[in-house]
Amino acid sequence: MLGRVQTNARNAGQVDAVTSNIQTASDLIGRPVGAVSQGINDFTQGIFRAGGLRAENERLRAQEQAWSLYEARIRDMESEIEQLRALMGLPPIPGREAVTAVAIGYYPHEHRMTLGVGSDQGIRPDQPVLTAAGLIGVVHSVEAQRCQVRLISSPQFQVGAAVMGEVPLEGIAKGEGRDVLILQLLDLSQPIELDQPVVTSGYSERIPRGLPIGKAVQVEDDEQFGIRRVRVFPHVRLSNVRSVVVLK
Amino acid sequence: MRFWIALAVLWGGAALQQGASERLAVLGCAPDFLLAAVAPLALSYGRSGGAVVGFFAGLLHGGLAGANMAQYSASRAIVGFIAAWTGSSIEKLEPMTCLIHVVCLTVLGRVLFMFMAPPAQIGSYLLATIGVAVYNGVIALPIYALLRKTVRKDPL
Repeated sequence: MLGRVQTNARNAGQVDAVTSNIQTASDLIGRPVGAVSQGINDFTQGIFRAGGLRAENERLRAQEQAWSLYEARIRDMESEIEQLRALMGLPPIPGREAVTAVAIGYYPHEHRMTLGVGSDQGIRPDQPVLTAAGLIGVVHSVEAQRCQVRLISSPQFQVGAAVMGEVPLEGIAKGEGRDVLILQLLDLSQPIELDQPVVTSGYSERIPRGLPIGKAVQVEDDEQFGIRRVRVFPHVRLSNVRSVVVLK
Repeated sequence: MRFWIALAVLWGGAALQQGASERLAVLGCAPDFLLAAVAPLALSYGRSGGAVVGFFAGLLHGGLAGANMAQYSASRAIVGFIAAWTGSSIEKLEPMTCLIHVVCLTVLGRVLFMFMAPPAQIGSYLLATIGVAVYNGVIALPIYALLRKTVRKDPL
């Protein structure tokens, strides 16, 4: 009976009452415990990786400066594209607005992550969730102040993806456990080189084109069935994720 | 008193599971605080009490993970029952006995769960189970110590 209640709620993009109450009760001390353990973790990492962190900080400052040069220009161009799309009667491109969020729970066996933002912040099911390195999953179910993310490692995860070579090759990428996705392509004629980037193809109402997913690490051709399987190694190490962005 | 101690331990376990478990991972193995709490609690609450404690620990774990609770509840209830059954023969809670007890029960709980909800990569799941079991054995020792000084002194 509980399973049926859960399944019905999930199909509606919501969280059932039992799960919601458990998470609310656990949040009371779970969030402070998480903040303290994160602080301890940061402190110990700071001691052992001080040199590396300082170098990383410098690199990020340089990237931020470079980014600020282009930000205004990109905004102008995006605005122009939206105006042109509106003139042509096309719907707006999804993923224009970003909501930052903190991961308050990570459950690798369930391929799920809980974020501290929900419908009150405009989060809806199927919105993409990413870090600076790339896509980590899509929003699965939403409450007022929390949402569950289905991670790219989940066997139930599917997204339109493309290998970005000279000619982009598009297909469907599916989660396959913790460290890899499988991208199925129907075009066997174009060569694929290892380490080529794999990004979202944009054939979705909520997921825009070009979000980085990972890189191609292995290619298998099944000529009998006319299918090419590309193993994709994700850019993001899910266990290290703390802060994310949800694209609205 | 016994009820409140069980509630406090399970609630604390749930909070640690949510907030600290993955941040305390060593070599990809994170502790399972709720499963680690079931074994010592079951020792003090008898077979049916152990099954009930296990059931609610599973419910909490499934709810936190946003997963189907049925598999978690069923596997943890069986672990709670077996923990109490096997634990009834333990006369004195020596640290090493407790550690082995929790290690074995963690392996049992995760293997039962594996059959009820098969993971994508069974090999890596079983490998992680060994690490989780050892981790749980260590973190359960303070719970055993707490219960030895409180609950097990209470008359049934």
